[in-house]
Amino acid sequence: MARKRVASEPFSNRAFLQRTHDAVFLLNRKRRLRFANSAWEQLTGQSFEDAYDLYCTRHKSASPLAQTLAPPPEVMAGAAARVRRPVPKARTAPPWWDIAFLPLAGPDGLYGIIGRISLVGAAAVVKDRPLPPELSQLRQKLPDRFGFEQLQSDVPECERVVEQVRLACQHRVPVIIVGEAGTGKERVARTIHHQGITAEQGFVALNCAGLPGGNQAALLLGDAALGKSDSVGTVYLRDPAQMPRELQARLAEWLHDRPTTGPRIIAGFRLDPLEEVAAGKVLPELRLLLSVQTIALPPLRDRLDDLPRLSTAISERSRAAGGAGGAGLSPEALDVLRGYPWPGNLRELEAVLESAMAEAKGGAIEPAHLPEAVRRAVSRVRALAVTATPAEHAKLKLDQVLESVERRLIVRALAKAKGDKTAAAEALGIWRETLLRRLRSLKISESDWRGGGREITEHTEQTDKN
Amino acid sequence: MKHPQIVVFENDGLLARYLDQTVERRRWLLRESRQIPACVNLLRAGGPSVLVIKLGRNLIREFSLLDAVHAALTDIPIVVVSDAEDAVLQSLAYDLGARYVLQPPDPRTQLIELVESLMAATISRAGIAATRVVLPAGVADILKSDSEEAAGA
Repeated sequence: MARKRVASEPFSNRAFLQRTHDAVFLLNRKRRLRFANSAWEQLTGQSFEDAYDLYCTRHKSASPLAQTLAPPPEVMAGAAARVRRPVPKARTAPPWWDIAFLPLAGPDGLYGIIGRISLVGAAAVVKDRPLPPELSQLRQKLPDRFGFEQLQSDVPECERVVEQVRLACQHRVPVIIVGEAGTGKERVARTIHHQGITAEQGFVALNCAGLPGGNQAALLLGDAALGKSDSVGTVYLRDPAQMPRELQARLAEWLHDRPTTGPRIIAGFRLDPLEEVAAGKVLPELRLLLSVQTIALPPLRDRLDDLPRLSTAISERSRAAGGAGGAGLSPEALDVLRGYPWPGNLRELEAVLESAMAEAKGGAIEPAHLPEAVRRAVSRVRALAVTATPAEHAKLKLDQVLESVERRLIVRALAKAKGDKTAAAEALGIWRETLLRRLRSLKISESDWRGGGREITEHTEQTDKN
Repeated sequence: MKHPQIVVFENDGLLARYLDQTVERRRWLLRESRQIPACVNLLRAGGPSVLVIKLGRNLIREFSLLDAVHAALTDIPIVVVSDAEDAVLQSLAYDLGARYVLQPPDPRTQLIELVESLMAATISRAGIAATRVVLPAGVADILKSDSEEAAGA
């Protein structure tokens, strides 16, 4: 009788499972999701309604969540098992999920499978016994590597950064570091940690992008969380704008009420946090609580005077690590590097110099040793820059710049195709009708391309003046 | 772009064999190294890379490599794998720059999943530093001739 009831109504006692804090789910014998409680919904960030009937398999075509919840073969054979899986969609695990699978077998084989998820974080950062002396020495070198001298600069903006970092080292209050990708936000955070009053404790970096909100919450604010650990000195949050708003609210609450002994929070933002607030990505109260001190890192293009100093530092680091090192930059190579816009900032500079040092084989770096992509980009930027004097260049608006580039490309394509509009459109990768429309719109006449496109500079200057 | 690679530093070659199919499926290179300088050179010379260090008997050597790579090549994600659960070593590994430390239970299954996601993340991160717009061939030709003229001038 009881068996009949289970078969027709598998979960009449749902409320019993709903109230538990553990994330629990039930699969049928075909591995399809039939029940999940609210703790599961919170942990996975998915509603049960949406996930109902999810086919939980390890097949590559299955969704990341389905792969994570898939029972291993021994469970399908009737044996209980426990597996550790990375959090779905998390490129930044830990944390991991420990999933205990309990098969429910009946006389005619497997009935279903109960799964229970528990979160395994990076909370094991404890120092309960001394390290062997040789390993201890490695740790003792860290303050040297992340020292103030690594941040020294001749650029006033960077000098201000060093002063701010020195100040941040003297307290435990939250700090915001703002800077484009590759400007060295984590390096600055580590410097604050290793030179500051938290140096004896651990440094943990947490990537907020790509982690489901439930996991971030558990890692930061759960029972055994980083926020409550005495052994963690600094928690560095990469890009908190990616956090769910609910977690931002909880974090703000925790920052407001937290004990003074907890780890300090350093948050790295790519954009100005005020802009993130205006865009609705960051809660105003969280920004307010994090921004006790704000350090803005300038992009590399704004500190080109530091290029010689930075290249020396990178070369020394490379030599210390057994690399080729180098005899510095030749004036011509420095000139090329100055002309490059550095969208990847310091990270890109390191990659470019590493490659150039390998090419130079220990000698001075010449332009020919720099990656071709860098040299080409500089040539292009300079070729476009000759269309306007510096004063005019400063006045150019984006639309005008784009228009002049488009005009230049169309005229050159027509000149190359000797006026054949079909061939020119093909070379430009657009429809012929689009080309005709752009010709009318940009007022490009036959006389423009007849001269091989050479008159375009003059024409562009005229347009800009108009 | 140079070929992306997974470099495994271990004594017995077991992890490399374990990762072999996963890496091959993604068309990455799998390289093994047992010497610190050779390992650093491989990472320095290669394309986007992920380093996997297996903790074995010679902890000084393994942690020295971790330290050296994080100092010289900060952008390379480093995964430390240990067969023993040791919170002190885990803490040291994080401080020296490991991005992930895998410990029991079942660090190898975790490794496969992690390496797969790191391969994807490393490529997209490398893309930030070297953003390239794919241009129609004709446009690329025009720009090329422009650059050549500018260089000639």
